Amino acid sequence: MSDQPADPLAAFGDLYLKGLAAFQSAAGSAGEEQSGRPGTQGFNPAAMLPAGTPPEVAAALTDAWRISATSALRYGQALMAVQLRYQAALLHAMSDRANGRAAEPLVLADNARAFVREIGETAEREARRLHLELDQVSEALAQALAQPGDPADPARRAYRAKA
Amino acid sequence: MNNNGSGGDVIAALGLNAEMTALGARIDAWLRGCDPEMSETLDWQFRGGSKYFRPLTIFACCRSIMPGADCGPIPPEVMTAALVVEMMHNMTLVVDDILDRSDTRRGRATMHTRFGELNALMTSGYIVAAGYEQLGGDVLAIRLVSELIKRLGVAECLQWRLRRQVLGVEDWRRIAGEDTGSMFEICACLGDRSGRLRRFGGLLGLLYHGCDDVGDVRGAAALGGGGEADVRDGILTLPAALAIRDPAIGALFTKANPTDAEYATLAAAFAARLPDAEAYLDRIAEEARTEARLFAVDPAPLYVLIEQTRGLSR
Repeated sequence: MSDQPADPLAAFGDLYLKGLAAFQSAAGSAGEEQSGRPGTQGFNPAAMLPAGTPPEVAAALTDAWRISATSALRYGQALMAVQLRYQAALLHAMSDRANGRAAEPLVLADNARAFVREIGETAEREARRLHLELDQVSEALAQALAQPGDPADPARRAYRAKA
Repeated sequence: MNNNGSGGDVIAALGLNAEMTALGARIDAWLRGCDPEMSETLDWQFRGGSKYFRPLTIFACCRSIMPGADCGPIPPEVMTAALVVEMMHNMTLVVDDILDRSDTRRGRATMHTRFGELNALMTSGYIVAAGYEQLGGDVLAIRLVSELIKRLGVAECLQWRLRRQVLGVEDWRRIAGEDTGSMFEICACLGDRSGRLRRFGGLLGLLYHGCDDVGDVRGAAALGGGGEADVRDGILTLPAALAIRDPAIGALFTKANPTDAEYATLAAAFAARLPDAEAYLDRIAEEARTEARLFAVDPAPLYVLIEQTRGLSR
């Protein structure tokens, strides 16, 4: 592990990119489609962290990697789904127009605007989902590392993971 | 703005009977403490049979974020927010009824019809001030309620400015999202206290608005009309946005004073697009379900709200 960054956080960026590549590769592998989810055989994110990384931190960073990579993949798939949903309608309308048939401009414009809106909503929804899931990892890590406090101390942390 | 509501069945399904009873008690207590000069008008407005669907949405969103035994009773700040939202909702109804020249609401005379416009307008202002008073030092709720009142005002102006224009479903979505959508967005935020269900609330409001549009056309069509007031004002309802894709109907829609025959043509065209409108509402309901599934800890209460709302047009 000598070629790895000593800082777990610095390792995370590298881990993310490698993990994403593994996910993309797995997603394109027909043999793994039967499992219903992309696999990442041979890719062990925990092993990429520097030696001595506290187990709670390693677990959190591994979770964060998995969540981030899954999010990136899911986002790509969702964009593709939006594209497919609108492709037929938009192509049909443009074909009508090219062939001199009476394409309704209002319908075409509405479809185009709905398509653009859904692209934006897809990004926004995935960002919120990622944020929520990472927030839960962060909360769980904080809980795992929290020192037992004096119950009478009003300043003690009162963490509760939001689920 | 729309005004349909919830029934006892949905309250029971959500297990919120006690909370709704407590809300009723809060409203009664507030009414008893109001200036005697305003008592008659306020009693008239607040004891007129509201179904409290907005407070119910607040409670359901609260439950969906803090479900089960962990939640305990609805927190006091959420109960107060429900009271204030119901107050603000009633303020918008009073103003709407004046603008729309509506004589009746919920089967009885509207406030301005019963007490005159001066009393109705002054009472609406009184309600707003009293609502902020109720919020006390709850800065989050003050910010959200302020956002709501501003957005509702903007939405009404926007809707009126865009009347009798050939616009699309996307425009309807924007208008409805700012009108009823903003109301339910804020309800969701007041219930979850984090903004996590804001988008769900917006979609629920959009669904509510669309179902109301469709319900108006469906009800009026059964009586031989087609959502008469909105048609004559050239308001962009969901059935209208779908119908005016036909250029001939679009041309009629832009006329300031349609003849009776033209009005009948418009009404028939709107009614003819009801199946498309229903299909569009089904898609919005599905979007709302997705939001609930992804962002609620327990989406079950939110599913109940969606089904209740979706049923308004059927």
